[in-house]
Amino acid sequence: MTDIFTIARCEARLSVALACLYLLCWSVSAYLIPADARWAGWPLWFLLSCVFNPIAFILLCALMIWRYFTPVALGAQDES
Amino acid sequence: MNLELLIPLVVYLCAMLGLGFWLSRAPVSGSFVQDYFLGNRTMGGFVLAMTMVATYASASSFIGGPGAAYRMGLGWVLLAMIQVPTVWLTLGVLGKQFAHIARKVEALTINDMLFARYQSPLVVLLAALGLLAAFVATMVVQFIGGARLLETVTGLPYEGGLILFALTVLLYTLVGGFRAVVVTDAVQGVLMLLGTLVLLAGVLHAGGGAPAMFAQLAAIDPGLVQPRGPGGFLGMSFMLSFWVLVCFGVIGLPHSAVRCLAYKDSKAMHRGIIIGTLVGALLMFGMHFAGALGRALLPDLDVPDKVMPTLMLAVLPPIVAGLFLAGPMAAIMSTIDSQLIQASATLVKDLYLNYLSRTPPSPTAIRRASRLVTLALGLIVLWAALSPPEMIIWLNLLAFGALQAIFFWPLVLGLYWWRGNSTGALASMLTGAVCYGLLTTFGIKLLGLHAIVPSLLLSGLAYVVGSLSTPAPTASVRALFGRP
Repeated sequence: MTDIFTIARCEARLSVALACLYLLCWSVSAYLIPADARWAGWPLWFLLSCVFNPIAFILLCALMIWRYFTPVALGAQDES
Repeated sequence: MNLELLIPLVVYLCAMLGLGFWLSRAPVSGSFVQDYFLGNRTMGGFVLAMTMVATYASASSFIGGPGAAYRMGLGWVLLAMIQVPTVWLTLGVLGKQFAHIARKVEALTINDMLFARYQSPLVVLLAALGLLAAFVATMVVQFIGGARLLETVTGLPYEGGLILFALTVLLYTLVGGFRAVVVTDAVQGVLMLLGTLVLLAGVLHAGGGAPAMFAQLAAIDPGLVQPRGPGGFLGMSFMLSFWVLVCFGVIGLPHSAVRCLAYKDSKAMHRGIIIGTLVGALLMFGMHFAGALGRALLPDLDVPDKVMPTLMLAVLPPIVAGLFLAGPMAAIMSTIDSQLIQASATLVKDLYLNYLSRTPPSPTAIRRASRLVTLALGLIVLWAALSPPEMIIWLNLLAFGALQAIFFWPLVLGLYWWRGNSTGALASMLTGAVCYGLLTTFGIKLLGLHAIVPSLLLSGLAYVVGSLSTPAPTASVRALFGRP
């Protein structure tokens, strides 16, 4: 049985890793796309970095919670 | 005076007040202090998410943010999207370990946690003073922002707006305590979200769709549709600083950290992360995108900070505008209330109950004192906002970053590095505060970075060096933090 500290550490590491991945995708989609490229009238960099990227990471975040976060009892008075 | 706008606003303020009174009648289980300052740890997932987002979205992100987006264009929206990971980072990193230990040592405030970890009254005292100074300063500025907003939109005189607005916040915080704060936060969060989405839809409709507006923006200045902004203002080191200031550094903000003490169970936390991330991202995107597009609709606004209220008046029918003006008001109120309750908790719980009272006072005395302190603090802030002293403006500039510079390492390394001790924490807090204060006051920018980056680096270094050069914490502390 793994204790709450191991679980908490693992989850903290995952959260930071996902944030770093977000940073990476954010900078790639914002700065490596030619600034003049257009898609359906929208600047392509804007569409990718401010619309698609956040949507993708909200989904990834939900996936992270569902797959890897473990429900644990936090204290004596409540069980989950 | 603009009655069409004023009436929905007043109705809204009354509703918040009613909610506070209604919540105060809920039966108190457990001790009064735990209930008043922490809502007895009963927060569910949705409320947790909303209160995180609402606390975080203050006047700066609802008024200053869209104003900056108006000037800087889409690049500023890109900058605002840096905040997407905030909720999962704060809840995930402090997360279960924080909540678990808080239950074990029955911690009600961040300072209780610091005491459990470092066993040093000096650390708590320093933290308490920093917290009070920062919160009072930010609350004053939020009050000023709220009153100015009322003044601009409804034509109510500044003092009138201020008092109307301040009394509402004060009253519901006073009667309902933390429970009222988080529940009103949840309502206000929903309202902010609706207001933002409706406004964005209105702006897009009025401007004839996004592509047409992008073309108009590009005609005004091609920089407005570039990631680097007009004249390349949004450079690499500027953006990097914001990554530290509004994303990673937020883990160390005491008023969001205290919410990690108050949720009900781990399921509430899981749900809170997902909902909070979604709502936060929508809010940040909507507000800033509307501000940036506003430039195409209202190209010559002389005060960019007025872009939100002006846009609302321009694209929405007055009665709807009045209702959704409550959005920015909600953002301001929800920031003030959470800081007010935490400042009182610091005074009553951390300073008075822990150090000043020789004999434990009776429960009635505590109850009376807690409310009295909340009231006194609120009145001091209100008085300061009526004629804001220069000092306050300066303190507010410092507050957000200084709180991070003071609390970040003692909180994060305290949780995850067993070797850290009180000397390290003290060194880190002092270094962070002094370094941040000096760099900001004298406007020194190393490599073009915001003062928070070097301050966090130095205070982290101070923590490690201070801890390693003095004895390790006692075995009981190590056991408590999972290192037998």
